[in-house]
Amino acid sequence: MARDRNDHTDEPGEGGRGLSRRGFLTSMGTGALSVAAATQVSAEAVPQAEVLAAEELSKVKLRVNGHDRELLVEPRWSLAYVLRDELGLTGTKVSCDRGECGACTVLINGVPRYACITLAVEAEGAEVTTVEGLMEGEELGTVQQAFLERDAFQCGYCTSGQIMAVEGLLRANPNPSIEEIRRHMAGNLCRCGTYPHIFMAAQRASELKGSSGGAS
Amino acid sequence: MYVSDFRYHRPETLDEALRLLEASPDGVLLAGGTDLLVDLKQGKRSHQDVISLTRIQNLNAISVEQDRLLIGTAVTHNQLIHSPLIRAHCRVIAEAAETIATEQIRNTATVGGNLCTAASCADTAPILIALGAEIEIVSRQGQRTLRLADFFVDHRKTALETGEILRRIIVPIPPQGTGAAYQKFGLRQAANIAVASVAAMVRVADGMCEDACFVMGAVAPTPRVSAGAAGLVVGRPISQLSEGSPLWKQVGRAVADDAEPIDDIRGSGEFRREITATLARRALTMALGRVRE
Ligand SMILES: Cc1cc2nc3c(=O)[nH]c(=O)nc-3n(C[C@H](O)[C@H](O)[C@H](O)COP(=O)(O)OP(=O)(O)OC[C@H]3O[C@@H](n4cnc5c(N)ncnc54)[C@H](O)[C@@H]3O)c2cc1C
Ligand code: FES
Ligand code: FES
Repeated sequence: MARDRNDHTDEPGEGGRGLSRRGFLTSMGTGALSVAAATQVSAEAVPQAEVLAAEELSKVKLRVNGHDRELLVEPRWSLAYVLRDELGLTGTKVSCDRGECGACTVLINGVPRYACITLAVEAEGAEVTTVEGLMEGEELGTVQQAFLERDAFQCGYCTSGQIMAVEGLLRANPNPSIEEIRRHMAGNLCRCGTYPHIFMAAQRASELKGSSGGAS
Repeated sequence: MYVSDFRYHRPETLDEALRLLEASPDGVLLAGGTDLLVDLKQGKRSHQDVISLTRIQNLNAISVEQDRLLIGTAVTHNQLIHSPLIRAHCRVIAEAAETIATEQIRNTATVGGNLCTAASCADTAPILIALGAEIEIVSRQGQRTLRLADFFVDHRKTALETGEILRRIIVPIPPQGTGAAYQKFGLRQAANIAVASVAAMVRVADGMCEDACFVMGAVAPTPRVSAGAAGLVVGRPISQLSEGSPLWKQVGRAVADDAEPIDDIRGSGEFRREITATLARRALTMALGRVRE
C-alpha cells in the first residue's frame, strides 16, 4: 500500500491531500509564486513558515544516493521508514528505533547520523547516502569490499550501519588510527560481537581507498 | 515507528518561530531531535505542532565578540568539538562534548537541546556553568539574559517560559590564570550516560586562588554548584591544594556533601556520592595543572 502511494516518484502527480500551497510551490521551485501563496495561507495563523499538515501526506523532495526523489510523506515519518518502506531501500536496517544501536546509520551531507531519529522532512534539501549508494555499478564499493575481505559480519543485521559509519569516518579522516576507529564506531552495536573484524575492515577500507587515490 | 501525529513547521527566521510558538499552545521546538523524537516515539509526550529550528540562519554559529565566546543554540556537539574558536579559547568545552553519546548523536544533537532538556546528567551544563556562562533567551516580548546557573529549576525543568526560545550561550573567555576541567564517570567508555560528573574552574594569581567554581552533574535534580567547595579554596594558596593534601581531600568531601544523589540502575546514591568526591578532586588537580599565569 505504501508502495502504491509513492510508486511514481519521478512524476509530478497531483500533490498530496494535505500539501500546503506554500510547501507545494516551494518544492516546485517557483519563488515568486510561493510568496503569493504565503499571503494566501496567512489565514492559517502560520505566516510565511512552511507547514506540513498532520495525518496527511505532503510532497517533499529528498536527494538520495545522488537522485532527486519527490515523494509523499507524513511529518512524523522517520527517514529510516521512508528509505525502507517508501523508497524500497531496505539496506538500511532498523533495530532499536531510538538512537542507540546504529543499524539505521546513513550519511546526511556526508556525516553519519541515525535515520531512525531523523524525520524524513528534516532531511529535505540534504544529500542522503545509504549503503545502496556505495555500490559502484554492480561492483561492491570500497568499504563493502573491505567488510567482505575481512569477514566482518556474522548475521549481517548491523552490517550496513557499520559500513556507513566506516564510510563516514573515512570521508572525514582517510587514515584513522585504531583508537580513532574504535571511538568513531562506538555508536554501532553488533550483537554477534564481530567488532575485531569490523575494525580490521575499517583499516582495510582505508588502505583500499588510499591505493585507489581516495576515490568514492 | 509509531509517533503521534503533529503538524510540522519549518520557519526560516527566529521571528517566525516565535510567532508560531505563540500561536500554538502546545508547540514544541525541534533541534537535533535526539531527546524529543525518542520521547515522542516512546509516547512520553505528544505535541500538535513541532517547530523545526534547522532552517533558521545563524542559530548554529560560533563566534567571538570582544572577550566572549558566542555559541548558537543549534550548534551540534561535533561542531563544538571541531571548532577552531572553541579549541583556541575554551578547549574544555570541546572536551565535555567529546564525552557525549556517539558520533552519530554528536553529529545531530545540539548544545541548546542538551541544556533545554535539562537532564541533570547533561554533559555540557556543568562546564558551561563553571565557566560562568550566560544564556540569551528571546520571546515575542523581547530578550533576556540569564546566568546558566539559574536556568535549571528542577529535574527536566528550566526557567524557560511558554513562547521563549534559547538563542545562544555566552561564555566569557577565561582570563589568564584560569584552569578548568570536566570529569565524568559512566559505566562504559562509549555512549555513556554520566553516573556522576564534576566540572572545576579555578583562577589563580600570585599563587593564590582568587576564584573557583565546582559544578556537579547527575547527583542532584539539576546540575548543581557546590558553594561549600568554592568557599574552601578561594583565598588559599594553591600550594595547599596539591594532590593528596588535607585541603584537597576536604574539597572532594565538600562537593560530595552538596550532592543529593538518588539510587537508580546506574548506581546507588551512596556510590554516587563517593564517586563525586573523587571526580571533584581529579577535576581540581587537572584544572590547577592547566593554569597558566
Ligand atoms: C543514545 C543517546 C545517548 C545520549 N547520550 C548523552 C550523553 O552522553 N550526554 C548527554 O548530555 N546527553 C546524551 N543524550 C541526550 C541528547 O542527545 C542530548 O541532550 C542532546 O544534546 C539534545 O539535543 P537535541 O538537539 O537533539 O535536542 P532536541 O531533542 O531537539 O530538543 C530537546 C528539548 O529541548 C527543547 N529545545 C531545543 N532547542 C531549544 C531552544 N533553542 N530553545 C528552547 N527549547 C529548545 C526541545 O523543544 C526539546 O524539548 C543521549 C541521547 C541518546 C538518544
Ligand atoms: S535503529 Fe536507529 S539507532 Fe538503532
Ligand atoms: S553481524 Fe550480527 S549483529 Fe553484527
